[in-house]
Amino acid sequence: MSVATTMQLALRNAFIQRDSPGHALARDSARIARACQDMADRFRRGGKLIVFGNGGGGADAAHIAVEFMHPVIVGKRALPAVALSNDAPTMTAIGAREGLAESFAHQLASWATPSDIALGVSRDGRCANVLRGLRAAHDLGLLTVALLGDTEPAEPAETAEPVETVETVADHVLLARTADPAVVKEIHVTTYHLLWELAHLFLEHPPANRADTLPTGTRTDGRAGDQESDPADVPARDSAQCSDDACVTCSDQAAPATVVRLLHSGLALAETATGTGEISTEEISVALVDASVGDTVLTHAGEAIAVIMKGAHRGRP
Amino acid sequence: MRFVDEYRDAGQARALAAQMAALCRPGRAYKLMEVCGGHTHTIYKHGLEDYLPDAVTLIHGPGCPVCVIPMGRLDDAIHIAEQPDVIMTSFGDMMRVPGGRGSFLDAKARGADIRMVYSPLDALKIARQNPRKRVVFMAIGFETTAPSTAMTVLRAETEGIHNFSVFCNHVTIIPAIKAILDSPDLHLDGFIGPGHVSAVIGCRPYEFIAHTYGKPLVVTGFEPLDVLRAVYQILTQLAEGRSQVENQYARVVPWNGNAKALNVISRVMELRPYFEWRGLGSISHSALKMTEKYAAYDAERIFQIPGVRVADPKACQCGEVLKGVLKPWECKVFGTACTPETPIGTCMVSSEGACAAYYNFGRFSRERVKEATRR
Repeated sequence: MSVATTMQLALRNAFIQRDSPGHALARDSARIARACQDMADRFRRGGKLIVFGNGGGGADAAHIAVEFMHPVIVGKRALPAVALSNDAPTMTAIGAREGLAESFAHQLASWATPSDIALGVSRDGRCANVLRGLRAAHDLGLLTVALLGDTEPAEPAETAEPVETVETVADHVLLARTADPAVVKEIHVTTYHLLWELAHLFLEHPPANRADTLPTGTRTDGRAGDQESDPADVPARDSAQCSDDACVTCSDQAAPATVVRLLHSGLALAETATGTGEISTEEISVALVDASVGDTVLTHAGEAIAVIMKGAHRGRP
Repeated sequence: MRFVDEYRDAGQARALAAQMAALCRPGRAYKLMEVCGGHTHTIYKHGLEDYLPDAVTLIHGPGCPVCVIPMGRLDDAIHIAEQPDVIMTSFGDMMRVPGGRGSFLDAKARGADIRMVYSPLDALKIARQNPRKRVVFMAIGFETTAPSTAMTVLRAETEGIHNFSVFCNHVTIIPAIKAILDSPDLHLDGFIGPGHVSAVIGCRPYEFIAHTYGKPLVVTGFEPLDVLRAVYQILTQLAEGRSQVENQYARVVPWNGNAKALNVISRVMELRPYFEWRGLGSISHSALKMTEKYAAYDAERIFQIPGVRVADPKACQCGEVLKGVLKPWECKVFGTACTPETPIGTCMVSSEGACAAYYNFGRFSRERVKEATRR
């Protein structure tokens, strides 16, 4: 067999090896989306992302933190994130005194808050310090996400301690469905890029009945708000007004209005034509113009700045 | 419909196009700036550039009030909105404008009480209904919206409403035009003057442009034929070697403006020594602030604002677009990282912004095709 043929076969096998885990990742899209939605909720509440792992997982943790802290795509806001394994002195200090298994749990216990997110990365899901970190985070009330490879379960340890499993400590378990360590790594990179991308998507487009549509007086940070105000008290404009490509009132554009009744204090009721040609009546100020009933005035932000037609006409200047 | 149909007649537009072509001297290029964002919107909505002779290029000016607000002022507004018991009110255009710490919508998601209003009167109504809250109106705009803000402050005073204040970001158009005229980047041949700003300030303030700088300016309206006639009148002046201020929009704009509106503005507001404009930098006496007499209604005095200057994102070239040095689609992030859904720069936020107008009305693709054809 020629070298070229051997190379071609090797390449084909390499792609076949990645084909199945890649498709499995696509099938896990709903699972990933749910994790991202929960992560966006935590960021919205002021939470930060705390990432940790060992070896290659530690490098991934650093990569994840920088993705969130310094988005490569322009226009995406930076989100607070830190990789615990970056801090070698702290890691080795804890490792020397308390054992490596405590290296992440100790740090989390010191400064994580319940609104934070803990993301543990482990290629084989057996890293004791990652599992201990996720356990500590879970107990503190953090959102816990585990990014693992799909390896054979570990042999039961010969110890009296119950074996910690990731399912008991992680709210979301995201698996690279392969045992090949290189492919696990590749799937992990794609997965956390998706985590970043979708978390931003959920942040930018919060689902209905979430943060920005809470009833007035309810705050997303859980603090009790004042119930006295009601946005509905502000006169609602016909949404059709905004249908003509630009909203004629909230944009810096003027709208003609025909005065139908003069009110006290320089105010008036006026009819305006909406984008669909329908007529709506609203209160405007005519204090700065000499307007009479039937006149068409040019309004800007609710204030008439010019009379454009004396008498009963309706139109656009 | 009156005031609409007679200004949208395609036959008249074609006739004007022929007349404009005849006015252009062979081999000469004409660069005209439409100062007002409303005109930019009209030009792209109706595809007016296709009616213009090839020699005429329209440069989009800084007349979109949302587009010229620097990021630092938005951060200051968000700082105010995040203070206890504050309800921040703002025009809808401002809600998505990105600042250094995100937009109003982001702040709202973090828990700040920020509400969209259609006028300062709506904000005053919210103050009336919420006596235990401090209601702040994010005032933006040129001389068109300043009277509305000033009048609302006077109403608050008359009614004895003390929980209402204004975060004043009103800007004035004349210093901005002067800054553009003094800019070495641009060599303009004439101006399409703003319509509704002129309804308030009149046409006299523009006379220095014609007399000192020798550039014609035609104040015009917002219908397609209004804009085309303004271009025709400017080209006529240039062909005849004249530079004058002309009022094509006399059906709305009195030569001397609206004295009552100017009076109300001067009662409540005064000129700032300087103000930062996005893309244009600090321009002296180019914005308004509340007078000492109305300090009680001045959010800037009531709240300790950080007042930090925030640099625009490096990728964003709004400044060059606002000065007319770049066409929107020449910006590095136009239509890719910066879209109306996820704007990086202010020009992509407001419907009056040049980038949003290009993006929404397909000029982007047409310009690209034109460029490719030329090459």
